[in-house]
Amino acid sequence: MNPLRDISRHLVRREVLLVLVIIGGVWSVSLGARTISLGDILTGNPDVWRIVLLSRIPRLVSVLLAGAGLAVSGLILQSILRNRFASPGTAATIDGARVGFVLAVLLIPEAPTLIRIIAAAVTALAATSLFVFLIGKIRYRSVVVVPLLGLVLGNVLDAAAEAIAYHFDMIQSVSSWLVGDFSMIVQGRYEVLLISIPLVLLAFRYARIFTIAGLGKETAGSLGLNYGTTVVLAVLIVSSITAVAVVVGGEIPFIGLVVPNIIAIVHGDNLSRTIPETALLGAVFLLVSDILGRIIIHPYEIPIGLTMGVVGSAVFLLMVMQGRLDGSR
Amino acid sequence: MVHAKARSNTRVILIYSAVAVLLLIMVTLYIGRGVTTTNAAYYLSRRLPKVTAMILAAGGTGIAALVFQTVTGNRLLTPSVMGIDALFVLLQTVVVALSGAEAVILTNPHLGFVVSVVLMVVFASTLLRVLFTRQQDGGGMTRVLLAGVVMGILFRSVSGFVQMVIDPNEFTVVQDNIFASVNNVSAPVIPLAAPIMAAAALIIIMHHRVLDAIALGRDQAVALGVNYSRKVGLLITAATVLVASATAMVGPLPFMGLVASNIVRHSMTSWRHRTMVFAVTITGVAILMGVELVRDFTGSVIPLGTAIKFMGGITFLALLLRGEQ
Repeated sequence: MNPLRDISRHLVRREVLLVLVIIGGVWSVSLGARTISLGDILTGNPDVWRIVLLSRIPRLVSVLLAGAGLAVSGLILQSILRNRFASPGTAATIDGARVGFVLAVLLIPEAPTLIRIIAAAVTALAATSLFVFLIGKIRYRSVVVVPLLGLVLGNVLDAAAEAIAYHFDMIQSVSSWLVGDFSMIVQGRYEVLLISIPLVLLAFRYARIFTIAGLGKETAGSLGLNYGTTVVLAVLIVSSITAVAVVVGGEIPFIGLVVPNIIAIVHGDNLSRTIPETALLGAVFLLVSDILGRIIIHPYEIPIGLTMGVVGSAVFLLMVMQGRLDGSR
Repeated sequence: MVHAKARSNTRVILIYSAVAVLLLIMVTLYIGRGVTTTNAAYYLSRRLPKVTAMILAAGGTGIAALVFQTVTGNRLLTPSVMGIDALFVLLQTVVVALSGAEAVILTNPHLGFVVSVVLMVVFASTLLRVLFTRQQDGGGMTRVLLAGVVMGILFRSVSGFVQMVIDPNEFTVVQDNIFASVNNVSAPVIPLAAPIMAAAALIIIMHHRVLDAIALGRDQAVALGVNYSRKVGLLITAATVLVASATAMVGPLPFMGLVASNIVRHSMTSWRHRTMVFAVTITGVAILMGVELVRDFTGSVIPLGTAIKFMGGITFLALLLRGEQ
């Protein structure tokens, strides 16, 4: 037995992950330009409390919600597309959200966050639906077809966003808004992320039918599942979660790709049982990356888009090279 | 059977002659538009380098894509899918961030070109060597492609971070470099790039029979007397030099090579590299020239690279949907 696998089997369990979230959460709250200890909070120092409530807690909550939401989105996409390389980042969802976000920001600069989210969600939905539709049409059967189609469709959408940004001469601003980064999150700027809680709960509720849909159209149909409706529901949930995360926190690569695969290696593919673990591991994974980015060059920060890019690509390449991941399921 | 083949060969020759004529017309239009006896000297001095750069870049990218596909035995694998465009953007961004916009490496076109090409070739050949040595099992190509896609995402996130922190004035320098355009091709680079690219292309053309053998697969190629690993190494390096020079000269042209080579493979009756190398050059240049002409005539502000990315992506989607594999 592979010792790494043994360790991960014990590590990737609800109770352990929950403890990790709490430890990481306390650590995250204490980190910043001013170090805050648990004692400071308990003694009720009003200055400390203001910092905690205004900036530290909002940041912690955003990171946890974005991580959990994106990981669950990846899991749902992998199930309905029956491909382990599917994720919001590889199924054009993030690229779609980017187009709507850029359009909303540049055309109606004074629009409230909610309008930006709706715009991003609409384009993310359109892009993901197009992606799912095209996947069904492509005759070329290989597991690579999902990341490849994602790459191509993503590039087309990116070109659209680029043309809009170029037109407004805002390439650098757009590029920096879109880098996954939670350092600017304060009270009043993150609350919309709470929308992803009911969305994730909705995913929990329908986990069973997503699992059945993952058996394939024919099998699912013969088991009495309305396959089309299930796919539409899945795409809706995934697009909305991704849009909210992109508008509030920027683009965070790999989390939706790597986390569901770790869970699947350890726990298999029954979503009713693995969705809670996926959400928790997603939250822990993003929280650890966030903390890493905050301590490496303290008191400066590395944005989470970069730390996740490095950590995520390393983990993913390792999984691919070790042959843990052949894509089919 | 023989008759049918002969007829379709004639058709192929006809098609590519038509494309070549079209290309000539486009080149004439591009160079000759609005030229009078008084302004000819100035117009030509501006436009001839642009046309030369376009021919070199599009031809080089197309040939490189063709070689990559043959060597990997996969029609979807091209240097740009492997993340070489994202690498170029990263290099440009990092150089500006580290050394500032006035750095010699940026103001001296020759030095900038050489450094970009060398870094890209070193990176790409290292990555490819690592990946191809593990290629024996069936999943090899899947891994190569995935690794390329992942590298692309990684490079983009690093570039995104660096672009976020650099000075906006310096960013405009980055922006000029990372968006493909024939307008900012510096004429002095061409005499340096042209012989390098011509040499690389010549190596590939001289190996057209070897490429035909490699297209049959590793075992067949070895059985036919090809020193497989040496020849593959040489050809991949030549292709990387081509694509790196093209990118360093005009900027990244995503999907350009992929689309040109797939159009050629689709339209040809036989996949002999002797003809395909020329067909892919003509096709590539015609695509780039066409897009540039449309931009020119409509006065579009959309950067050439963005237009190519958009249209190339859509063409590639169409190819995927038609099940060309």
